[in-house]
Amino acid sequence: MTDLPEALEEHIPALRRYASALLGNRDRADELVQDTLERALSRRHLFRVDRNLRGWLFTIMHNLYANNARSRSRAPGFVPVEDAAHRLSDGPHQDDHMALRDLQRALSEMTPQHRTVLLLIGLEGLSYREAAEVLDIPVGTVMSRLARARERLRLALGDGPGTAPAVEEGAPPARRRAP
Amino acid sequence: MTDPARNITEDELHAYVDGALKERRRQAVEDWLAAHPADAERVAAWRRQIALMSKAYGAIAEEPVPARLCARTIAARLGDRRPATGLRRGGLAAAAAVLLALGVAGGWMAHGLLGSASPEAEEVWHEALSAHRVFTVEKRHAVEVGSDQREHLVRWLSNRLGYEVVIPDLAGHGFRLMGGRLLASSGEPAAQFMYENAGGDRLTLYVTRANGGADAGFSMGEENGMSAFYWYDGRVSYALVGTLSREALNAIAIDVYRQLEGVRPS
Repeated sequence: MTDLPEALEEHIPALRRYASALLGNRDRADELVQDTLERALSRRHLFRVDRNLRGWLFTIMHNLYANNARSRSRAPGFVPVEDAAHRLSDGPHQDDHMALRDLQRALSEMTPQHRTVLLLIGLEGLSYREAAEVLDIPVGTVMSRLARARERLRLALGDGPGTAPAVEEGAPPARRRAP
Repeated sequence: MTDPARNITEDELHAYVDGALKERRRQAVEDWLAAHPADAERVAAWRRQIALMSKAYGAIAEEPVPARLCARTIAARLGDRRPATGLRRGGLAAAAAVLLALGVAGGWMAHGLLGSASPEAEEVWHEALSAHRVFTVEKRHAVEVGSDQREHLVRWLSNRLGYEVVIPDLAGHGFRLMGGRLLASSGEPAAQFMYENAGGDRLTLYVTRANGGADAGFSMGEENGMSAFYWYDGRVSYALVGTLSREALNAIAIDVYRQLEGVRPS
């Protein structure tokens, strides 16, 4: 039978990818991944074989991230990735470079609530239900956060029509981090 | 109204982008988008966002995972001493075959088999697998120094590793030496020698004097289609990695062990 450390291995690349996008910093991302793996392995008795391992790992990571964010609420929690664009892109194309920079800046200016849904669904391909379980919120809240996050990102990137969507969910506008 | 498309919600536009709609609604959304260019443009922009995120961060998931994020190493550090982690006892049969072939009934090898692999051994083992995965896919830069400069290769790596390195000859198994490279293993120098057979299969022998842990013997583990035999002779850790069958790799590991047996550093 496959044991947990072995089963974890295949998910580590995705955890690193998500954490890097979430935190905007490779070193802190790997620290978060390491904390997540340690938590998972030290609580292996809580893991059931029939459970969705990926979802469980993202849940652990999200809880660690949320707790960290809370404890650092006054500190500048987000460090923009200065070197990520050239480290991450395949080639030195200037346009790509600019687009990646713009994306990173826009993500850094989002609230964690928006950033998490955007990345879990758009980058990691979680279903709405999986994302709801990871974030421990109703599916409807996932949907409304996703809709707002995508529109904010679109406007931040200057991509497409400049108007807000016709359908608004009625929730208060998300707080923006002061510059 | 008779036009069902009027019922398209904002949520459905997103579900359309995320491939979460049933076929019937998907068609309705497409009809709606064909008639509403502003919504179509927003949907296209959301798709570009997803592509951009993938472009920005996708490569991270293609990188080799650093050794400190190896789940086996972490599990070992957390004090897990149960079998079936890392260098698995699942490799028992293969390793036992090695023991048998070598005629070694006891000693350090049996100790390693019966005991638990040390965290240090796990780390070396994992680094050997990572190095194998990263460098065997290289076409032009698979090795740093080619086998045409074999003497230089031996001298260079002996200097860096601090003992007289011997490169096993695997011609009898159909594998020719391609060359080698210097790597780092837990802050210590390490070397990787790469071999290739006529069929394009590649083998690597990973060698390091990084601490292999006191109780590490001969172990075998598999990961992602790769098999690795690991052993530690008291001063040098070896890992032979390949994608051959376990039996084929086993036979080669026995040979490598024999060729290196006489050259252990004192």
